[in-house]
This record gives sequence, structure tokens and C-alpha cells, in this order.
Amino acid sequence: MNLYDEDIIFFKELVNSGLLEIYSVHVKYHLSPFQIVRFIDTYQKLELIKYYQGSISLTDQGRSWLLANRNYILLKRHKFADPFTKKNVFENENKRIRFDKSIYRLLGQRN
Amino acid sequence: MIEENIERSKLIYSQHDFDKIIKLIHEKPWTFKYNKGISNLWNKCLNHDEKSLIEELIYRFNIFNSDDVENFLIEMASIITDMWELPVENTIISALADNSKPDSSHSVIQSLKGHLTKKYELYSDIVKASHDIKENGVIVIVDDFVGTATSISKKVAYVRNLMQKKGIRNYSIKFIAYLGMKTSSIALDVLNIDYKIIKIMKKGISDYCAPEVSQSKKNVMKRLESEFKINSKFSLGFLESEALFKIQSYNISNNVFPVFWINKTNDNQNFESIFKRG
Repeated sequence: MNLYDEDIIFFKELVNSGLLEIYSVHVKYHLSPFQIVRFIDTYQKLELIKYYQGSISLTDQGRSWLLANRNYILLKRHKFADPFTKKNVFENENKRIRFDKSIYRLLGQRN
Repeated sequence: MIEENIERSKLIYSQHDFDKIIKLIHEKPWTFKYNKGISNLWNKCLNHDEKSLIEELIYRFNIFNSDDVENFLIEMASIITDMWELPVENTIISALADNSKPDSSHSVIQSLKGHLTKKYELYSDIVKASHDIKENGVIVIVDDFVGTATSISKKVAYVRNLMQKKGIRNYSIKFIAYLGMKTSSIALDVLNIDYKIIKIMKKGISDYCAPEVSQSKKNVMKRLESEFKINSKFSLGFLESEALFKIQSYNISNNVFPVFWINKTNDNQNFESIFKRG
């Protein structure tokens, strides 16, 4: 499983809003309905988001997961196509942050 | 679900259209694989009626995967050996194809081989098979789909002619296909042969609506067809078959509504359709 363009867009938007209307994401970013459904299906299955009546929100687990992986997912310090490796460890506010390794499991890739 | 990049939307849909497409994708996950063609076709629709018709037809569309084909083959083998109880000694099984050009009936006979419990004589060319029919012989013709029954009618006529020329009077012709249109039974009954269609399918518009509604929907479809370069004999599918099916990894039938497979617009531009037809 890969992390797609639309995943990054959604997570960035979700950080800023409690409840995100999927139609607004379509209008703002031209994401196709197929990209949107793929995002919802993938991350709902992983229990990281909830989808209800046209809107999505992060679950508590999703919020923790996103926080643990914020450098990787939100700060674009990666190439999307790169495999997940131990090299993806960055400095943040002088505090060394290690990735939550569950990302490997959640995304179906090996450490 | 596909694991490749999906293109962003070329158009911004209305909330109403967007909700309809989201619901459609959720309920018909096979659409993922064909997302680009579906978006392209949707974007060609001029109005609500055309979009609603395409939505309706996608809901009715049948996608058959390799497991479905496997089940068809098991049933086909069972019909030949258990239902018709055909003896090996005087039975020939042949693909519907009549020359060396690749044909979907070749894949049927090739795959059927592994499901037959008896060692029947199998042929990939009906012309050659017909010449090997003997007195009291049986020829079973196999194919993946029967739409208007034009091909099988021609082949049956050929076999009968040949038998007459050879002076063979006692023989029988049987026919089996995985899939067939409900209307094909009319033409098949006229042939006066034993036949079996494993799964019968309805016409995509006519068999689902009252006649006046059907006509109006067919007019809507014809307007949409005018966006493409479609030979009139394929309007609504070959001889108006109105078929809605695809066997995965098989060439899509020309009996299917052409807007699902045509690759040229009316101004001769390339068009990426939902399915590719070779």
C-alpha cells in the first residue's frame, strides 16, 4: 500500500478542521471522487478516520497516529514514492522524534 | 481497490452529481479499476438525463471475474457429461470460431479441457470439427456469449449444409454459452437445436422499463452516442442488443452499449473509454 497525493491533502486539512466536508475538498483541490473514496475506505478500515454523511473526522487513534507521524506526513520531508525506512527520523524543536513504527504495519510495508 | 495514482478531476461536479458518484463508487467497487474511463464518460454527458442513464447502466453492469468463469466452466462440463450424458465415442466439442483468428470461444474450449472428466475430441475450429462429424455423431458448439445469435445461426447452417452434402442424416447439434441475452432464445429456438445458456441477461434499458420510458431513455442514449464516432449498427450495442457485461481479461463484446467501449469522438479525437475493445 502506498501513501497517495490525496492522503497528504486530506491529513493536512484534517489537522486544521474537526469535521471536514469531502465535497469542499473536491472543490478546493479537484480531487476526483475516486481519490476521495479510496482515502475514506483505506483509513476508515485502519480506524484512523470516521466517515459520516459526507464528512470525515480523525478518530482519537488517528489523531495520535498523525501526531506521531507529523513530520513524515505533514511536512513533506519525504518523497512519496520512497519506501519507509529508518532514515525517516527528523529533528523537531530540538527534540528528536522517532516515527511511530506502527506506520509500517498500517501501511503494509516492512520496516 | 487499485494501487496506482488516480488523476485529479478535470471538472468540478455539482454537490448533487458528486454525491451520486461517491455513492456509485462505494456500491460498485469494480468502478475503481475503470475510474478514468468512467470520469471521461460522465464528463461527456450534457444533462441530468444522460448522467442518470449512465449511472443506472453502471449499476446494472455485470463484471465477471475469473472465479465466475471457473463456475461457468464447471457447469458447462456438467451439462455435457451429466445432463446431456454425451458419450465420448461420437461426440465432438468445438469452439464457435471458424478460422485461425483469435476468438473468445478459443479460450472457452481451452479452459473447458481441464474441467471435462471424459476425453472428448476438442476442436478450436468449427469448420474442421464439422468435417469430422460421423453418422449418429454429436457436435457441441461452445462460446462465451450469445447476443443476437447471428454467429451461431450461420455456423448451424454451415454444419447442416455440410451434413447434407456428405449424406449424413443422423447427427445432432448442441450449443452452450456462459452468457446470453434473454432475447437470444428467440433466434436459438428457431434453430431447433439443444442449447443451454448458463446465465441469461436482460437488455440494459428495454427489459427494465415500460416501452414509452424505454424509448425515451434510448433517445437519451442516442444523443450521448452522437458525441462519438459510432457505426449505426452498433448503436445501443450490435443490433440494439443493449448488453451490459464484461468478462474480465476478455475483449468486451460489441453487443455492449458502445459508449462503454468506443475510442473515438465524433470529431475523430482519441477517447479513453471505460473498456478497451480490440
